[in-house]
Amino acid sequence: MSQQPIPTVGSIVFLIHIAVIVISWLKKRPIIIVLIILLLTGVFSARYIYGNSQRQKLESYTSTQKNHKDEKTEPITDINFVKDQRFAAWVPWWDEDRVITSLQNSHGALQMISPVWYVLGPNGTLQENPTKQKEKIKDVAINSGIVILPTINNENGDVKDGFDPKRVSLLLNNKSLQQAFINNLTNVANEQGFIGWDIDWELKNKDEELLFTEFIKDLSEQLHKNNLLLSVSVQAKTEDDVKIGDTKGENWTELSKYADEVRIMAYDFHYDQSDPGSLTPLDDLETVLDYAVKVIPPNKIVLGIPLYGYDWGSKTESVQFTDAIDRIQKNGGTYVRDTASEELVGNYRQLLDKHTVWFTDKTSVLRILYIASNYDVQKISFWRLGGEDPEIWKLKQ
Amino acid sequence: MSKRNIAILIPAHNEAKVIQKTIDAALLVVSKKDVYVVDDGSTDNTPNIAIVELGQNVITISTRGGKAEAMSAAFNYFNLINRYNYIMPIDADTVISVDFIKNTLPILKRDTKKQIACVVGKVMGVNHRWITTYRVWEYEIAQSIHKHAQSIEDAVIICPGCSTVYRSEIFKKIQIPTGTLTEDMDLTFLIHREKLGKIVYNGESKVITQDPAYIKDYVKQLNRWYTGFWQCLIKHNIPWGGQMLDFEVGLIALEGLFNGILVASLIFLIPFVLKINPLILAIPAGVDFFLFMIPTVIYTGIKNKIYHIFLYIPFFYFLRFLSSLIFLYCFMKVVLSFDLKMTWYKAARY
Repeated sequence: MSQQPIPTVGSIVFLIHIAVIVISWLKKRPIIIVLIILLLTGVFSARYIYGNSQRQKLESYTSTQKNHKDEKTEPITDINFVKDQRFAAWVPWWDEDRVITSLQNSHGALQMISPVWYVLGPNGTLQENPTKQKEKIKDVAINSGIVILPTINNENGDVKDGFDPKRVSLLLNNKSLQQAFINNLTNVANEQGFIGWDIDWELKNKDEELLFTEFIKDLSEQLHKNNLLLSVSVQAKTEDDVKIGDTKGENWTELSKYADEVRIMAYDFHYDQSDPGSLTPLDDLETVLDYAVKVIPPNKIVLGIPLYGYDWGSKTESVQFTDAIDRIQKNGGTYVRDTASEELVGNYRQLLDKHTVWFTDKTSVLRILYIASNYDVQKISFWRLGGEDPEIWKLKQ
Repeated sequence: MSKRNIAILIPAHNEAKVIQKTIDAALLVVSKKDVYVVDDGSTDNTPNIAIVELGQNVITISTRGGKAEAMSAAFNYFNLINRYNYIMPIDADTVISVDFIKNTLPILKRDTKKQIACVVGKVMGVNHRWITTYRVWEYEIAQSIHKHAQSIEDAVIICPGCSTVYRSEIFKKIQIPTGTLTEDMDLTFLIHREKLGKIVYNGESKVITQDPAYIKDYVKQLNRWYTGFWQCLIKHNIPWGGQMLDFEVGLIALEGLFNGILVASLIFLIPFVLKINPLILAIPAGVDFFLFMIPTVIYTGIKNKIYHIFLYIPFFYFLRFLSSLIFLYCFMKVVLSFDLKMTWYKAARY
């Protein structure tokens, strides 16, 4: 009647007991232990051999990537040119702990940050993003002699990485809204000690190019009156304007007349919606720069350089350098350097989900800096701070 | 006179519905001379059925005194301890399988140094409703895994009153203990504490027993078991005895309590957790489901040929949660208030 007043409700004692049974069973059968050791050795060797063959495959794959240079790029021996370059970085509002670490790691390499603390609201007004450590970041920056020129984007909070052209349209078509917006920017900058503003409005309507230029003109006049700077971030494009996406809402020649800086976001040539590939293929970069130097005075060009990557799998996500390394190592994957872009390319598996990761590090960044310097482009802005390869900061030392 | 081998002793109180079957099964494995019934103050036809089958091997105690007292009375009256090498007390609703003795006695006989105090067989439930299917599952894990491991650790925590063959000599050294609701666990702990010998589990020796088929009976039975569990813990000063038993029982008690508290708090917390991050629950639930529930259900289903057992998994969770709460309740009742009110409960026979 009374059998077992053990509560069979949990699983921890169960697992301990399974282990006891297995160990006692194995103790009586040493041959099985030997077989298990042999089997494990076999599995690990097979995994090692498989890993090597995957690495070779990866190497052959990366070297045959289309749209990339075929010849191996010459090694850069003299990095003194980096010292002449001005480093700035965008700062996300959602990864602030890592941003603070990066700021502390950067050891004077950074001169300016553009935190994405503001957003153009759906009603065409300036709104603040829900940052938690704004004051701390400000303190760390000021103490390190870094100036702050915050970015206002047009992200729609409901969609991850989603930009909303409607709110831009609303503002561009309403002069009084614009005036209020501009006044507000002047006030906020003065109150908070910012040195100016960066406007990063993406996926704008093609037919509003003129209105946008006009707005930037008005904005710059007002900011300049108050000794504030204006930067405009634009998507990379080339002379024939067909390289990537829809970039017709931005007239670089006109914008550079009024803005102090035009930040060319030279990345996302492969992105979460595309096939895996390098973020900034070097020949594409050169085509963009070829065009940029023709239409923008070199001292106003800021080259936006990626300090991130993408992890393509069943779900594609943007990753930082440290995330990418973590994921590859945790899942027993491998990574190699793509000879064309000099970016890192990794492969790993999570059960049946095969992942390919492309991400940047010190070496790939140095190559872009080198190319920029060949075009006399001395202003750099990194997207983005937090989780980047810490070696990058050593380039300046 | 040389000793006889094994005596089967059936203490019975109002078991007229089932005792015939129990005696019949016992008679298939030992001779008529070796089956004994103690009628513990029955008011129904129990003694008459027993006398028809067993004649002089039946005694009646007019005032009901409980199982332990009934067994002690039989030990004395029939001089079982001196006349038999082994004694197997069984419940009046237990059906011994035909090869029980054949599978059990050799273990004791091989043990010439008399290191083994008793051999514990496997209790099998009868599956006919979802609650009894749960019991079949619970018995399978409790014995094939827990008891098997405890036997290896030398820390079997219970010799069920219906499936244990004792070396009769141990009863020369101890009295069958009374005073808790689970007298068989009490006796098991005593065997450990008095260092009377090893307790060996043998899954090949089987008995079939009846289990509650209705929630109300199930709850009452668990209440009795778990109350008895905590009573025995206090009585035998667990976990402070320095034996493997203390570690084993302590671990089970801790996990049981943890689960009880978890389930009790989840009742209130689930809406909040789901709102904040359902993953907090999903990960432990997934571990439990894939590492514990699914493998054990597959094992039980195949071993007992209950292939539709999967359909009952939601009910199993319900009964596990319920068991956790009863375990916690009994802890609070027994340990926190030290209320050792003994109430005997017997499941309705069907």
